[in-house]
Amino acid sequence: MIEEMNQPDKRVDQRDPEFQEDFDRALKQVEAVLRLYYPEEVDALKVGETLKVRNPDGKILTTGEEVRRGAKAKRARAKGVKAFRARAELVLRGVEAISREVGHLPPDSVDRLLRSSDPRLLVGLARASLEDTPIDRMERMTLRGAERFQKLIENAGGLVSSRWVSEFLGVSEEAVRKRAQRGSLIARRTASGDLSFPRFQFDEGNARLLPGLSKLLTETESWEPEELTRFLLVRHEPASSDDTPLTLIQRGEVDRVLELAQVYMQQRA
Amino acid sequence: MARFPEDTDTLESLPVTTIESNTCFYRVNGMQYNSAIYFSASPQNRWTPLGGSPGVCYMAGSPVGALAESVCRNVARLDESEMFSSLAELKKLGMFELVLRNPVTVLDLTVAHLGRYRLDATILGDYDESLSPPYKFSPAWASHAVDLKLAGILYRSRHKIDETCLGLFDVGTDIFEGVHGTLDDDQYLEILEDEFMWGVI
Repeated sequence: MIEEMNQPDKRVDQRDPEFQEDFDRALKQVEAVLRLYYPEEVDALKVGETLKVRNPDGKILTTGEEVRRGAKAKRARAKGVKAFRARAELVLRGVEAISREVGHLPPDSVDRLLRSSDPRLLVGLARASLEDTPIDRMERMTLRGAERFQKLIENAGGLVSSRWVSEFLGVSEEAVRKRAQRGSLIARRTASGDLSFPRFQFDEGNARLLPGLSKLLTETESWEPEELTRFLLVRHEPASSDDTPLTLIQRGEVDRVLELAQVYMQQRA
Repeated sequence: MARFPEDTDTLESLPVTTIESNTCFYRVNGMQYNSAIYFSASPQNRWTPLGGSPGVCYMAGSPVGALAESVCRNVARLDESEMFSSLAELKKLGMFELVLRNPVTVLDLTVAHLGRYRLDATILGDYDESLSPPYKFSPAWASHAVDLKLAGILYRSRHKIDETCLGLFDVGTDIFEGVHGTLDDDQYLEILEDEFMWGVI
């Protein structure tokens, strides 16, 4: 049955009793997951009425059972917290969007996404969504850029937290944050507001910042951390060498890197 | 076959082209500067003459060429994960239009059959990191063009071969300039995506 659901060109008839049984069971699982993370929101929104999932034909299906407004939900409504309701709407809309995309995925994509991490799964579904629908160019380019940035930085050791840096350098987390604010460390602010640090900037054998990097950071203080990261990790002359500015710094060729930084993104021959 | 210029390489024996007045070129340049007309003397640049003088202003025949020579350099050789830019940095760069007010005569390396001049496109791949500057032949040809009183060198972008570029020497050419927005504008994002499959972050 699962295989059948995954066939993109073979629409499943919701009236098929066998399918309906599986589908109802899946929806109950979705509802259970939602309740696990958002018990009050689910009640507040009367899941039975609001949780609408479309099958591949675009027909709206419901959980089949309207959930009565409970005491918790009443309290939640009484609070009248706008953000609370918005979060619930976001969750439900997300479920609807994910359900729609999963319904269109070919079997090999389903298998691949099941094996991937949560962020990769979401990126994979987002990409599938963009391929299916006309979409704003900026959204498409941003998604592509985010995916590439993540891959580039993962290949160079990934990102570490403020805590990791503080333990590594033997200073407080507050000191780490101040250094990041001053631009003496390469740091990105994540969506949650925390700082993350590309790991490649640390000389882990000697528990210090990579020698020579400070000089570059001073020269490039106006650069965005993402662009500085790209500059360091992308081969500057791939026709003749796999060297990146980072490998040059690791070899001690800091002046050469400063020269490259001066002409980075400049139009030249 | 790249080679050094010789005494027999005269105006009559080399490919020379006159670019008509009011021809428009494009240049990507930082918006923080007052002007995009910048003559670089950096030995890191291919057509800087030996000794660094005169300086050279690099421009392209189209916005696509200007992007190929700046933001999207080496695009054909990059891995997919290397092909993106920070949107905030694109916002700092402008697409400038540079109009040559007078006709200029230049060494033209875009002509067909460069071989008949005992030259070919490999001169555009002239790069050796072990050298300083890292070019063996190009600076010598730039110096030779200056000696012949040419105003610059017309060449094909090595990053996007069908785009024409101009290295204009700082020899007093009258240039009108205007800016056509920053690179985060829709028209340039369209080029970045359609021509270069670029991403932004």
